[in-house]
Amino acid sequence: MTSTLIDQIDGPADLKGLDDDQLVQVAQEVRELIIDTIGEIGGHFGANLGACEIAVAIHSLLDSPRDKVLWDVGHQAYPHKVLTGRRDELHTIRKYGGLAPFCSMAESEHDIMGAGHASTSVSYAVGIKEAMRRGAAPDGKVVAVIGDGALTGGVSFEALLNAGGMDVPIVIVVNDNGMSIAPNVGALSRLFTRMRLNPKLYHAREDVEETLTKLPAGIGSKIERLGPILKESLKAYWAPGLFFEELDLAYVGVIDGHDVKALRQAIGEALEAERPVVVHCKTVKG
Amino acid sequence: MEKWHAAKPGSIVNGSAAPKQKPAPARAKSAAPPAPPQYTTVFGEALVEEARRDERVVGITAAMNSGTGLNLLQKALPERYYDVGIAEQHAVLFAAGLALEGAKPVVAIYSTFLQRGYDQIVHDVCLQKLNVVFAMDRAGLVGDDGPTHHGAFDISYLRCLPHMVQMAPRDEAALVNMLHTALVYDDGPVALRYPRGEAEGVELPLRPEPIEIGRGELLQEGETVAFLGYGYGVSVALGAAESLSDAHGLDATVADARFAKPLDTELVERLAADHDVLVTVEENVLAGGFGSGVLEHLADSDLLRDTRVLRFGLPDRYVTHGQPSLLREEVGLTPEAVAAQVAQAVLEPSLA
Repeated sequence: MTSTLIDQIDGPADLKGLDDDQLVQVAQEVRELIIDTIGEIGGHFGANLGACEIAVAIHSLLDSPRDKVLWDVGHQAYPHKVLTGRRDELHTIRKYGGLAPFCSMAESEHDIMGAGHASTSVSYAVGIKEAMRRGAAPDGKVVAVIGDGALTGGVSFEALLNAGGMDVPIVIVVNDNGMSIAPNVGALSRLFTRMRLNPKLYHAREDVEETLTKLPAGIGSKIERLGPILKESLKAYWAPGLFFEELDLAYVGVIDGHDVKALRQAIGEALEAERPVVVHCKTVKG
Repeated sequence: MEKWHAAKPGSIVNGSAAPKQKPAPARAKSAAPPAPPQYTTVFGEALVEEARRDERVVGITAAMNSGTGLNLLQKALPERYYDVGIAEQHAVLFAAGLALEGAKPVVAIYSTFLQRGYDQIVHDVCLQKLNVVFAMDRAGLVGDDGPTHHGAFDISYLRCLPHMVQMAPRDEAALVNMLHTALVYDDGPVALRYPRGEAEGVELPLRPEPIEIGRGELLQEGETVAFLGYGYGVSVALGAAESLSDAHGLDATVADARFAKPLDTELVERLAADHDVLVTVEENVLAGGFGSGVLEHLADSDLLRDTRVLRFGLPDRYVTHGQPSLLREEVGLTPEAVAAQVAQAVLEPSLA
């Protein structure tokens, strides 16, 4: 491996000015560094490898630590650590005196919250953004990155309810690497995704409603006749984002979590939305 | 809304809401002294004052708006008030996020319900040493709601956590000063516990004064027996001391520990050195509670050889529901019961 870019990344600012191809390369180099390092010393592996492009995309868009990125649990924070000045110390992770296994406020100004136990990031994001809105701290963007596993923890739902209820403009990036929050919805899902991403955030509810009734060969009218409740169920099955939209959170997805360009576009739009947005990214662990 | 969540007796007549009693005139003709205010109201009013003084102060409740007194903040300064719903875990994390960015969150959650946010207290507030204030109303025996709602464990479950400061007022004036102390303290979390119901009826300070962290207060000096109370335990201790004086002519020392953590070790050591018996009183389970902390310190300092320690608190069982006065009789946490046991230990040590 001939590292050409990653050696020059000593902080998130060094990602600025890189073009899409270079960002893709950085993500790949981060992945290789983690494989080489953690493969040797052991550590949390899969979730971190799955988050390389997400970390590059987010840090290329944000100005950390003025903007805040919160990595739930920290199992997926190794790429973040590499990108925020800890590249050369990665081999010390989890060792006595070395880098902390999870995010640690004492370790870096880019580790905004201490983590280790799951499902805390969305609550922190709501609190941090609310403090900014109150003027207690300088304003900035706030992004929580939470895995589908951590999203099963109850407190993350308490936080989603509160974020939607208070309309706190945070971005929640769901790193969905396996437990399949979303059913496999195939071509229809891709259609919805394209519709929702371009040119701005659509509401999944309206999209689905329209699409369901326009299905060919009489299926659409049959769905109409099923009555409102069953129709709602069908919509919820076909479009995972409805769940979030019912909580007054905008939803973008499903995004290919390894496509830096798509991630940058989706997260970038979410950051401009001035309302809570869930960006649902499908990633492959490892 | 909390409408009819818990109705008081007589509030429903013939199937509908009873007519509201006319409020008592400000200057009643009878000379009966006004009833002491509720701790909840004193806290709510004090928090409004703190929030007016410091714009960083915000209040958070988990769906216990009037039960915590935060309805007063909601009314006076609605933009400083948050109700996150029955979501204690999120309430604590939300406060942690606010504290990270310089706000001063006061999380007002009953002692019993704060149990539901314990991991967040350990992992997010204490470990990260964030300036979050926990205001625990309903600490101790709550009465009619029974064992699910007694605040029996918070001294124990918080005392073991590094960085936590624990304090408890003996009366409403102390509550006002302690809330102020907690909000000017900026070196980590503070937990403040106070009982359900009426306060003691003392005068409130015109302007709250901060208390030195970890400093208790000597209330009366005597001999042979020293009472060291914490929170509600102080009033029990004062009553027990009076009872001992009346019945046996024994004038005991009484002190208010004010802090369960950090403990006023100087005060504890002095009381132990100058008296034969040191009596701790708290309304929390004895296991791991305030008295345990006193015992730990004395044992670690090898000061138990010449001092007998008697601990009074809640037993190692779940206490049933009923009027607090009846429950306190049942568990032996009344001034009379405490005095009787102390008298036995002092006057007839071989029987105790």
